[in-house]
Amino acid sequence: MGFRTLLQNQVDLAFRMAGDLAYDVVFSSASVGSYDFAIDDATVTPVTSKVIKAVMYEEKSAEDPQKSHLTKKLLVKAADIGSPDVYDTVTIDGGVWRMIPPYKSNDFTVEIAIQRET
Amino acid sequence: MSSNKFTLLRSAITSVFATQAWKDEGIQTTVDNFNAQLSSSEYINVSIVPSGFMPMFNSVRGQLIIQIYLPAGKGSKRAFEIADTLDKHFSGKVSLYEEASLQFFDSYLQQGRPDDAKSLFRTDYHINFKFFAGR
Repeated sequence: MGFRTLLQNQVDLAFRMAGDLAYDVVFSSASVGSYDFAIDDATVTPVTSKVIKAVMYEEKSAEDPQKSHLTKKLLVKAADIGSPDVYDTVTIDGGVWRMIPPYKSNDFTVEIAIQRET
Repeated sequence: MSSNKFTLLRSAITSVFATQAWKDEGIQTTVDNFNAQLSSSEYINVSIVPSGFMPMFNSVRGQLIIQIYLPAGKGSKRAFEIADTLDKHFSGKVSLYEEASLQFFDSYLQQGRPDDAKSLFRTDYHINFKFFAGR
């Protein structure tokens, strides 16, 4: 068994052991092509939606009291989401959160930040 | 009564990038607030910046600012070539539309500044315009 498979198995085990510390969330990815200047718009095409496990380790409100958005930081398995971008969303308890940059990946787990208006 | 001056202005400028003449230049082109899937590290980003300077009814002055991105470490010659290509399409051009007219003046460059993305090199192309809606 190579190291990559060993580490991947350990990540899978860690998420199983986390139990209900890891939430079920719906990760929806989308693809976008080049900008179409003929219609001055871009087409964002939903690609996949799937339920994945996510550990939430931070939630914070906007620092400016005039703003109303919330930001969460999640830890997910890299194998579940690949390379996320701003066109992807995460649905938690029916609420849709937008992906915001940056994300950090070590090839096994990914730290992502998501945001929504309250 | 609304003049739709901002949407007409935007349409007048973005339509240039929809032409076959521009597509034939072979320069990847994107706009503000759009995360393009780019096939190379040479591309331009189009920013239309209406100005509040000397506002007049149904008219807009401003700048078309185009960020030219090149791979880092390859000099700036290509930025100058792209700037000349942009001049071909914009500098001194006067365009008349059914409901508006758009006039571009002369351009200038803000020479290469390091971009946030360290693998890219950025040069900004600026060209002033005057736009009149409701001819």
